[in-house]
Amino acid sequence: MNFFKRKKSFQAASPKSKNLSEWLSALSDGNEDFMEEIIETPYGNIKICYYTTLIDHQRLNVDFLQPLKTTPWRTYKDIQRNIYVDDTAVTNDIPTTNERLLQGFAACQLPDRKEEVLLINAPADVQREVSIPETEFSVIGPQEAFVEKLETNIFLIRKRLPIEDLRIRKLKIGTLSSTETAVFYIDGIADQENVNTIIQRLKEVNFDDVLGANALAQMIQDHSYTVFPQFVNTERPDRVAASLAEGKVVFMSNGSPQAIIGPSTLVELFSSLEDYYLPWHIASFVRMLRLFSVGFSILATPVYVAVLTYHYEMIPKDLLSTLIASRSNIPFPPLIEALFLEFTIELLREAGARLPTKVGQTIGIVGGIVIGQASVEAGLTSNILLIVVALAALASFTTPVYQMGNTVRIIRFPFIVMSAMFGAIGIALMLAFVIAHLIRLESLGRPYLAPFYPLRFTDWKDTFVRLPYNMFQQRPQQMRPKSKARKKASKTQKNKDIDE
Amino acid sequence: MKKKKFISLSVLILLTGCLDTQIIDEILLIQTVGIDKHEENKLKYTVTYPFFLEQGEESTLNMEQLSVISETTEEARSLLNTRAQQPLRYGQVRVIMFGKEVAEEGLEKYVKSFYRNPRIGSQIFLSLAEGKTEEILRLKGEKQQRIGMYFSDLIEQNIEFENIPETNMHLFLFDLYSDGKDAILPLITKEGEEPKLIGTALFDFDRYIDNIDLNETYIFKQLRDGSEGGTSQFMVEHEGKKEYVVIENVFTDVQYKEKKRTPYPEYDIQVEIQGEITDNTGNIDLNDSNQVTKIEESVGKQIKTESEKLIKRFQELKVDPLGFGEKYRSKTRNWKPNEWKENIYPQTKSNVKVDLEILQSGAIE
Repeated sequence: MNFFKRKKSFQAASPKSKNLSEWLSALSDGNEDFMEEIIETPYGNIKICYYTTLIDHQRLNVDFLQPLKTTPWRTYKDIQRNIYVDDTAVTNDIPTTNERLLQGFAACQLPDRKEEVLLINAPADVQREVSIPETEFSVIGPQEAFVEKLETNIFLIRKRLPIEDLRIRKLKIGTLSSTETAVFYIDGIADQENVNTIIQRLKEVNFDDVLGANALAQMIQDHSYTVFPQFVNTERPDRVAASLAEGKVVFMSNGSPQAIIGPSTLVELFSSLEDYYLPWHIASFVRMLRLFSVGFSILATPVYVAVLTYHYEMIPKDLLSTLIASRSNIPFPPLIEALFLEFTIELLREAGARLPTKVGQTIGIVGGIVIGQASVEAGLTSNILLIVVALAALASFTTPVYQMGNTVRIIRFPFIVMSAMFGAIGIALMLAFVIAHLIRLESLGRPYLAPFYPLRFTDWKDTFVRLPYNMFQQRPQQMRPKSKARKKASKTQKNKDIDE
Repeated sequence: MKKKKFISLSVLILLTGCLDTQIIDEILLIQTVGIDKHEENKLKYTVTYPFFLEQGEESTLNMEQLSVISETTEEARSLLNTRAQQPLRYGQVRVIMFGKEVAEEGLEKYVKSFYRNPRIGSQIFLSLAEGKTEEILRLKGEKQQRIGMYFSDLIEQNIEFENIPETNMHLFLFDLYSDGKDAILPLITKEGEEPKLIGTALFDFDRYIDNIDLNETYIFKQLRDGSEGGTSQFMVEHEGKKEYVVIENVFTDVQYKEKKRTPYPEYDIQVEIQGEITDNTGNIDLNDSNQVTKIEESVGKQIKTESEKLIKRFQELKVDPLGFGEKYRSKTRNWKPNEWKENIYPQTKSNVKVDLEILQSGAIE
């Protein structure tokens, strides 16, 4: 995947001098936060160097320097035995030393062992607390979300799936950022082909600064010119655990609090994890509501434009006078009117998203009420369209996966333009185009529109509706899981093994 | 390949310029059409359409009526446009009303012209006017502002809840082109300033023949397709006095059975009416089941005689709105429409059996 191949790629960390000591001393030249100091102890002097900004000083003092001063030592081995730091290593390799130093290790050197250093792990730990999920909030269900630190995230996932079969493969991606990326899957459930595909694609990413999991997802997705997201992106550890149990593959990057789940289907992008916490009837209702609202959100404004521009005979007689009355003052054709309102709503959304939370709320209220009302009174839009557009916008926010919500909002615009050009035929054409496009899409080589195309009725249990858990005895075929049954083979009545 | 794509895409976009937009507030939507006879071969088309006067933020609904003289429907529209502020379109037509004189000469060509227009639905109402449609379509005061809706609502609610049999353009044409059935239309007239439904017009093919009044229409509706509504008043004798009861239909089921075929067909018509007494004059004790049974018998007999009278009249007029022909044809090889019409139909016998059942008589204290 040579998306971003540069003509001259930057080579990071190419040490010029081959001598470890000289190289260490040279480091402080360009890096003003690089420290080199000699520590005097009753048992001899020791040189210690580190990036001050990357080191937890208290830890270095208490766990390393204190024991050094109180307990006798002579060699690196003695030190390793005495100090309270577990993660230590003795090395003479410059690249390793370089890498470790940048990860928050301190290097210490005995005066008589110039060719070797002892690396001590004491990284500064800047970390956000595990907090409530913001974009995928659910009323019931766990209230924890991933954080930026990969170790914490792995901990959150491991805690939910305490089995040795949960495999974690770590990769470093990005020539500059060398972003630590972990691929998760459950051995014995996940199809090895999916695992191999995702690892291979991740390995082949050739880019300098990988911003995180979301950027990686864009780099490794099957089709990069589509507006549809091909991976589910989540900040919920429970969703990751549920997906892993279905046989999916997940990857996360250090520094981004999101997990990317693949292979995914279109329907999954409209399912919220709350669907699995609520009773199945309610969950099914909510899911159908969501799917309906997607259709409504995409088609409402285009239908308004088409009917008012071309198909006046379609208007029910009782609505006719209301519609004409609301339009009679407006100087624009329906297309301009609709685009104007849609644009306003998008502006409000974007402004609300960029501004701090409290200001954002104000913007929403001011925009929604004041601008909407004023533009109707000023005769720029009809109040019927205002309702239609506002409802459509509201409907688009019901999509639980953020990326998919964006897609739903974007895709409306070509529909509006087509409806203004060709009327209802334009909408039909565009719809056919989108469906054809969706049929062609793949996620990690698996069909995106499954289980509708290809038709797999057994997987319909978790699409328009979410059937009760006793129907969930088989993992979805989409993932080609190695073991299909979600139930233990034993016939004990009690043991209904539900992974989610 | 790229060139081809580019060309087809640009054709797609550029050609949209050729498409006429018909933005709803930039056209005038005709809601009712009236067609009258006007000297020799000419016709007078009267249309009504709503338009909005913009007055600041509020806009007011107004109705306008225009009449032109022409031979064909489309020509009329084009002539009307010479007098309209914005282009007139037929797409929202709800009611087409024909004058009696036009109907006597045949309606087929006019109805077909509307039927062919893809923008006009086939569920719109046709009706016949006693008098000039131009006059009927001129309402007074507030009604004038709702004229587009007025006539379609008038016919619709009478079909749904009262005694007018079901009718629309589709059914009219279906009956018209059927060999074994004749078409009907609701008949509208104007009394003083008020338009009102006065009965049903009977057609032979597309020509108006005669009409029946509202009481007959009630019976006719029961016989034609049964009903789930409608009210009628009947006279009954009670203790030697004439009393009136009003019976509301709850459900009517009608079944035609061919009893014999030669030399002339004979039909048993079983009418099962379930009704409810909603009102009565005098002192009929509706709690007394004997009296209710008496009413049932008496009213049933009245309906029976009325029905037989009506059918006889249809046979004399040689019109068949009840569709005996359809029933006969469905069991006949070598069906000959003319023979049926001229010889067989007038001789057809029918026995009406009415089974009236009073389900309830309202809440009683």
